[in-house]
Amino acid sequence: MIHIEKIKQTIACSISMVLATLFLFAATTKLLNYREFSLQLAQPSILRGYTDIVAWMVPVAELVVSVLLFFKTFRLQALFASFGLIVLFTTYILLILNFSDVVPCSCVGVIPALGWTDHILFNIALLALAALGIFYSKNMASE
Amino acid sequence: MKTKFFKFVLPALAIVMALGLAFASEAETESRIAYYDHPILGVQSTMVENECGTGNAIACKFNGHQLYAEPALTNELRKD
Repeated sequence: MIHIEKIKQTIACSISMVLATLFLFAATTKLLNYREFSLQLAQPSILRGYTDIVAWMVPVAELVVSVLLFFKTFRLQALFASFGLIVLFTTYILLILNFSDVVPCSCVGVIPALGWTDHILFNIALLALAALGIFYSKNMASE
Repeated sequence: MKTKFFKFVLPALAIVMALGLAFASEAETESRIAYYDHPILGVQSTMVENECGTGNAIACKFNGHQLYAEPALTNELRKD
């Protein structure tokens, strides 16, 4: 029984590390390429007018979540926040693909070579990963 | 030992990897800004796909405006 607990803990910890690395990478890339990122946000009409605040809020939120994912105490909350952030990003991509007049290039993303459709698939895989992390962390918290 | 790995070594590796990759990919995005002459707003900047600037056949445009490599609007961006 203790052995299974250890495996669950290791899985939850590994998922947290993967997501933390990803969010930290994404936040740093956005801050290093702040100008390109804000230009990219300004292109579709959806966020026009809120570009500056969103261009700061997104990397800051990613940084906060990535830091919280490193601490066991906040892991479950951070995994929920990760899930929420990925849902928001996926919704944004779906909105610009279906309702925006201009579709910007996806070149300041996590993987610049990916197109928007590939990004959606990548995000779905991350959502599954975050859900698995939540499941195992929740199990550990309730036991 | 195992606890130490998960508590310190793994987070440290994750931070180094994330920051290293972010800095490594920084230079790549620099050339993706393009400029165009907006009739009302003047010179505006936007982002372009990688292939813009690599060919000659098709003009790279944004909302119908010709894209240029620099704010002086001298070098037109074209692709194959």
